[in-house]
Amino acid sequence: MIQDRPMTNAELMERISTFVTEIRINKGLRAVVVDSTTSLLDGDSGFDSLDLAALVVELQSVTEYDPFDAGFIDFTTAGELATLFARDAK
Amino acid sequence: MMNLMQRLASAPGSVIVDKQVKALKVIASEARELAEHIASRGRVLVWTDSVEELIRVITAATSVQADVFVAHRSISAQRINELVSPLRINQLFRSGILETYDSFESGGSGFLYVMTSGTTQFPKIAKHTADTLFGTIKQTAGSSLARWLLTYPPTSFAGLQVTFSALIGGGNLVAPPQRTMSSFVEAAVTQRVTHISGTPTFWRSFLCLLPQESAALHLEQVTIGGEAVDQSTLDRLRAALPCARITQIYASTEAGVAFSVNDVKAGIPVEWFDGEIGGVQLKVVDDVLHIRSPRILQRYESGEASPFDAEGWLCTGDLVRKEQDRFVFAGRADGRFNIGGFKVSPEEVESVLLQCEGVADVLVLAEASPISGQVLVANVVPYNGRSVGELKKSVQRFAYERLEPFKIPRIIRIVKGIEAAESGKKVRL
Repeated sequence: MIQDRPMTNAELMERISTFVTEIRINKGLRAVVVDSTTSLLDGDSGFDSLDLAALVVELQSVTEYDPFDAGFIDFTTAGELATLFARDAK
Repeated sequence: MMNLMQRLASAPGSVIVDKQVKALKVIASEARELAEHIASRGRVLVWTDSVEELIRVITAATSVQADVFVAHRSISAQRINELVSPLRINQLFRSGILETYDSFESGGSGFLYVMTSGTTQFPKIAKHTADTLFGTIKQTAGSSLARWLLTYPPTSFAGLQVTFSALIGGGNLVAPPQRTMSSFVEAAVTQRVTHISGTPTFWRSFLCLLPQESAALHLEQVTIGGEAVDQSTLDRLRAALPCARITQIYASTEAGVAFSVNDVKAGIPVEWFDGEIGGVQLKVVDDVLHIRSPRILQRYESGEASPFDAEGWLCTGDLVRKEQDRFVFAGRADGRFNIGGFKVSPEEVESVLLQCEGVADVLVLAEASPISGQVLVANVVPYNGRSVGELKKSVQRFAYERLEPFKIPRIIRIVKGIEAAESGKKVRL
């Protein structure tokens, strides 16, 4: 599933949304709409830190890019995470 | 001490390598000729992957009270040369030829030195005798002459066990031309193999190739060991091979053959920890199995510290967990991951995911994460014909239903296969 071009912000948002939805279903929570303002860190998303870690590894794997290579960069929302991985915005 | 020459010369079996049959009587007579060239009480190193040469050299050397070092063929020629001096080797058997060095004093006493698989470092060398290695071998039961398939590398502890169990036990040994799964299945069918010993990883892979072949098999004995054996793998073996006896064996280069369990239930009965079983005592210290046995190694010849405590107990490094009336194996103590501050054994998680329908095999590993240090990943091999997307979802759901949060692999990847080492065990990095 690795693409030969960098993923766009919109594609990344879709990826994040699918991931969050799958996690919520597995945890017996109802699906929610994930948009760029959805917080991934305060528990509203149904996420724990291990889910978030998995999401980041998944994004690293599909984009073949590691924005945290030089150290951790703070983020809170789905939109901020997508921007970290998106290459079209840079 | 056991006299291998006598035992083999009077045994009825043959060694069948790539369909070429050679009677044991012939190999024993060749060993007798070779023994005339081996220095009595010397030290011989044998470096070959030919099972027939191994039998010949081990039998010849022990018959003149020489020590034998069995070296894996995968070790480099340079490393073999470097071993000669520190191990005080007088003679080296390689490429079918016995080379003699005169520069070292002898001092052999018929010991057998076996190397560990050495996946992460240079193998350790364990000192044994023919008795500690082969002392438990009995006449193989069965209606006709048993035919054992060699699935392990011939120089490994498990390979030597299978080889000599087959031959001393009065049966034949079948070695396929290549050590690949399709060669094993082909040899099992065409050579009418009756006995196979392999790791759980070997058996899960073997079973995947079976559906169309199982009717053509003649298996009487299935032996499984070398890695933690889980109930779902035992259940699959029972279902696929209803007529075979299924034995879990606990054995290692260090521990020798410790014990075996025949009731097709995973783990060790708790009552075995009260007394002794076949001369072996068991205890659990900090969730790790410890054993005391007349068949454990005498010491390491490669310089490592003694693996025994003051009372002669060997720490096996294998985790066990009490479940009702059994102690079940839960992986290697040094193989656990730290997930969010909790220790997680990959083998324990794998044993749960193997219960999920559609999963042929699974490897659980940890990947580095900037968020939580390590995150658990499951590489899942589907049975043929399974929809990849559906399987991923059902494995995920299964994990969430049955595992504590920190034991749930948060990433599931569907893969074609899982890499097994030469030893038949999963490669864990």
